[in-house]
Amino acid sequence: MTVPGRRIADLPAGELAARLARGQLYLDYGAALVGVTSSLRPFAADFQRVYGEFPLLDERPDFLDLHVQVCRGGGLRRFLRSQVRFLVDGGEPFEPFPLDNALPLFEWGVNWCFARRCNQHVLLHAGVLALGGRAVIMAAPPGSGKSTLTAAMMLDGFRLLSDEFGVLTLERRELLPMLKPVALKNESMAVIRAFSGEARLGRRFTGTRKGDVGHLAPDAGSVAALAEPARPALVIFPAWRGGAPLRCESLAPEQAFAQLAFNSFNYSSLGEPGFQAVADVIAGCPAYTLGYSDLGEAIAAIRGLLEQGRPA
Amino acid sequence: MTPQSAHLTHLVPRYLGDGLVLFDHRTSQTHILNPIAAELFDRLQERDAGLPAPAGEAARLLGSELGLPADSGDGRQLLDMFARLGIIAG
Repeated sequence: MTVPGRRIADLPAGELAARLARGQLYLDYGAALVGVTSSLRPFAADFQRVYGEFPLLDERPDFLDLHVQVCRGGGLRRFLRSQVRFLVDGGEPFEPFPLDNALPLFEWGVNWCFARRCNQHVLLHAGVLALGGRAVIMAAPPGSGKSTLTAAMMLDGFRLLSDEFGVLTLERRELLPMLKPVALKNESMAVIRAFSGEARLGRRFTGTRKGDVGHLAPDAGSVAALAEPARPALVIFPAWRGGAPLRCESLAPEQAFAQLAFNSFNYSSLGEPGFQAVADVIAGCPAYTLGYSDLGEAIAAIRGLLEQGRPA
Repeated sequence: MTPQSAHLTHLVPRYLGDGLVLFDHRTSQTHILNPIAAELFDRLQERDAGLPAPAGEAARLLGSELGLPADSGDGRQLLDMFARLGIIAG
């Protein structure tokens, strides 16, 4: 049960820590429900900052997709260097991280679980944002600036559904939210702070396996729409290049299909239903490559393309 | 969409713009056909509904009507793929 209007941010820090310690903190990501247990107080504080807008679920949902635990490492190694472990449904898929990196470990761990378990949908490797129920699928390999552009789009008025997972339903060809904090690496944190004074970023974690990492909290509007799917309307393959002028080019549909399908997390295991679902998206949406260096220009171009494709 | 012929029931075609994507039920693999390959597929389907097309005929169509010599690198690659998929007789 969700207490109307109550958010995770509304809990006093001590109460949140106690709920986490008891395993009574439940997160609604949209496409998945996750139970979280942790007795680490610093993790609770980091968690609250980036999940603050999420609804506070006071009762255990009937079904949880995952139950994860973030706990202090044991064994002799704990005397040399404090560590944190990530457990999911009793298993431990990763080596422990330094204790200070509990939130990044939690975020990567949950992503890893989603990527391997949510096979009732096509999981596109893509950010997804929407305006008025019409979704932009932003697909690109790591290092292309996808997360930074996704974060900037949310701060510029788009609804964020996900920065990592395009959750495409096989039945209705809709995109479900898989709403998580946006993981920003290295310079991207400063870029996003400079882009908008509204950016609510968590703590900077230095020296992680992916460099320095910080998490941008989803905004209230995106969280409020957790239960609302969006219709695919536009596919963008962004590529950031420092100093490059804006360059937007139409992509042949069969090439767009290849890039979208073959970079998804689970396309190869879904067979013909996944093939037909991705083909329907490409058949119904124009696809473009977008080279850019300026976030504002890129977002204006995407708004223009979305407007062009609006049904009459 | 071109109806599937009897011998190609393992292939599911979807036309996307001028190109084509094919899902192969035998291998669960997806194949991407550019507009020339899609056109060749289409013509072979119209001509030989239900049967694998002769390789020589496919090579002739490709070179003389679609402008891609069968003995070029791209031409050979395309004909090899069609043979593996059972679209033309190997």
